[in-house]
Amino acid sequence: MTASRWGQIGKRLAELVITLWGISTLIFLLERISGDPAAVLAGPQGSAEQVAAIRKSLGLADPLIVQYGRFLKGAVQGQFGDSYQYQSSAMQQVLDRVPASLELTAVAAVGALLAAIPLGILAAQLRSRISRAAILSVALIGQSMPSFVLGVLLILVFGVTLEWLPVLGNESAVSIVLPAITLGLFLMARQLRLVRACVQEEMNSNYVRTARAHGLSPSRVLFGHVLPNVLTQVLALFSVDFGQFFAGAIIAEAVFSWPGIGSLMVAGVQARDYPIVQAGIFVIAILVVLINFGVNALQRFADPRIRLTQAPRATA
Amino acid sequence: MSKSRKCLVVLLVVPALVMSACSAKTKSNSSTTGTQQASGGSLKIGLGAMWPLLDPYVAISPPRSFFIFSLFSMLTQTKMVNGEVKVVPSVAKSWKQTTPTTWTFNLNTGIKFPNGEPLDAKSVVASANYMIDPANKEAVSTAIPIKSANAINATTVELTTANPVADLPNYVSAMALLPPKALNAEKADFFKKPIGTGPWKVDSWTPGQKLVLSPNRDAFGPKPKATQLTFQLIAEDPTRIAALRSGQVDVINAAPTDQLETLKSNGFAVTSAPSPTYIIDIFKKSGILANQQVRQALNYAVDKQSLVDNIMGGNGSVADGQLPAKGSIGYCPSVQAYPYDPDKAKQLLAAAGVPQGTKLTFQTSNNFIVNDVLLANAVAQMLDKVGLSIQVTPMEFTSYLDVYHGQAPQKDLFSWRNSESPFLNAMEQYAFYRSGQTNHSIGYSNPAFDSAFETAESSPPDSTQAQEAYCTMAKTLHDDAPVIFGIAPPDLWATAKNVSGFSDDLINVPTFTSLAK
Repeated sequence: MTASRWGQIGKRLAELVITLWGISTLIFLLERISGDPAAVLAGPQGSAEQVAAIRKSLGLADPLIVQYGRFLKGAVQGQFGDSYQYQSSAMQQVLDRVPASLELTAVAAVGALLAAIPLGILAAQLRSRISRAAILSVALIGQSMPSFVLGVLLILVFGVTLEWLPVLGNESAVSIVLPAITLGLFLMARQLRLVRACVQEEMNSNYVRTARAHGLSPSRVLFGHVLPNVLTQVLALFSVDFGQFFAGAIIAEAVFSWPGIGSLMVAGVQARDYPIVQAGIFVIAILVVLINFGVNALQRFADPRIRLTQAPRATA
Repeated sequence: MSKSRKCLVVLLVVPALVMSACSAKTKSNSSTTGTQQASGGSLKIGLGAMWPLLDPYVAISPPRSFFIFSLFSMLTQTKMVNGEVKVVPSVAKSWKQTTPTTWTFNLNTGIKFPNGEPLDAKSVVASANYMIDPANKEAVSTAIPIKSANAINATTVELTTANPVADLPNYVSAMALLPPKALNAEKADFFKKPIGTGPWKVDSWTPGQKLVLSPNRDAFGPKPKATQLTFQLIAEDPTRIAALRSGQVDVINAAPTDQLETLKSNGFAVTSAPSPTYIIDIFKKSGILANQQVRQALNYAVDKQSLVDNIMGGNGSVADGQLPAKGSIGYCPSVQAYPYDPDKAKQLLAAAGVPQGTKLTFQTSNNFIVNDVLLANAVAQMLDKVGLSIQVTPMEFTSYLDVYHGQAPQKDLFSWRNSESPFLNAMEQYAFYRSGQTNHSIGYSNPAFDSAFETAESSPPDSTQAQEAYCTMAKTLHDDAPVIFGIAPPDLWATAKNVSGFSDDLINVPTFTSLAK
């Protein structure tokens, strides 16, 4: 790898560190504004003295700057303390949930893309207006329906009425289907419309007309020439959408009781479990940045133009 | 063209075929599992809320009490017998109050923990000490007022209280008994996979998500019928109902009131048991709510039967003008609910000089008590009808707890309910109304109430003295009306057709040992 490539990676890492610091500090402040975990831990059965004692033992009676210092010191080591609810390492609780979340987002993302690309091509190429309209309607519904409504609808139709699929997360291999659809449908809809628009545009361009004039078959033109160009656009949109994807995962996880980071975070916020929320945000931020990094690398691989225009000028 | 159309058909048909094949597979899997189980079956229970820790001293009301009474045994047991609360022997076979502040318990013998340790006086002492140790910050130590514990011999243990406590046997029915050696060796880590002498033992535990239990060979007391019991968190109402209807779980709690008819018409059994009284704090030391007439007016203005019929779908019941629910220790049969009389309410408000349209703020929890926001809105409407103007503020649970604990200001009206379970003892609730008490204090003070409280505190619950004192307290609070006495909300469970042995009562902890499928 070239020196400037290392430089770029170094720049990315620096950005990551600054992002993490900024987000963590923001969460630190917001949490402390939101209220007192000690009251929650004592619950309705605890007395006022117990609330005070719990607060002191959690270190929350200390001045804010002391708490922040303690927090930063732990954060650089990846230590966020013990979860107030679970009374064991918050970071461990979060890490335990990462595989389930990654599984869901991966299946949803891959499924969305695998569905969007052929459907988008069909929506662009099909002669029948009805078929094209049908596909676009699916896209419209997918993009406009709130994921909570979609999730509950899927449960009612496929879980209760037809009894085709399980409604609870993680019981069997098949239980990922409904949550993945709930999470991925929005992404699929957007990608579908992008693919359709791209294919239509490309098919009208000069190089396609030239290729057809040279005698290449339509499918050869489509798969060999148009599709690679479309794919770069798809990846670009994906990297933009990915952050929202993670947010949507929280809803899908809640609806289906999927044991991922999202549901852990929601429970943590509800219980004012600061360590869990801080550790969770930290891990999610790292994951989002890493995945964006990966998608960008894919883009560079897929599109020679990016590689070549960013390559350093030959020395001289 | 036709090729693209073929693509479309393939794209739509193949997933459908795959899914129906998979569903056939899952269905056949579940039926073979059914026939492979011995009698009792493997039962799954979907809960709307779950506990993050298997520590029995953090809190003792539902849903935590589900695992506490499943895993551990206690000295005594509080149960409902013929609609009345009774305290019966469990690990302790008899007990006596030897001095006003000392209780002596005689234990049954031959009980062992799964690790071989005996359940004897030493275990009781170790458990009590762990619970009251300030270093462990166990909230339950406030509810079970033990000051110290002492093992006289292997089968006799002495529990001392700071003040005279006439009903300590009732309170120790919630104190889990733990193996001392394991507890001392592992300390807080013991609760990662605790062992006890309850009917069930832990097979696997995913904190906050899923608890899988199987029958405990070393159980003291009735043995379970089922071969496996799984508690699963399903926080969202629609998902919990769907899981029951599709057969993924066999039992659910917190069944939403608007789904009950659908469930019943689909063959599911719905159980509705009374739960602790829903009340609204209104007493203030100054302002219009300092006036007893005004507070009584608010009580006359609320149509409690309508709340039961229209908000709860006919489930639950009207509370009898007092804090304890019918059948609790301390319930006074001669005190009645305020009748619904909006005209009388208007009269009293006018006599007290309250101007029309006086604004009051009503803080309510949101999704903590069943249908809490709906109840608050209905009550607000009823109070508006008698000339007030109520603004309802639903609060998220942690903010609500802040107000409860006095960390945030409590406004004019504040709705809550006592956590009676599992003691069902009015003294726990009446303690909030003693002069000078600091726990969720609304500033109420009445010397007649205080002296009745002291009498009740030091007299055995069954004695005439105690009964008279209970009624004095109930009547005093009824007339002073520091709260609006509301309803007993329903504790709603739904079970699948093939589930037998389910029952629930005022304690709101179903007997999971008798469940079978």
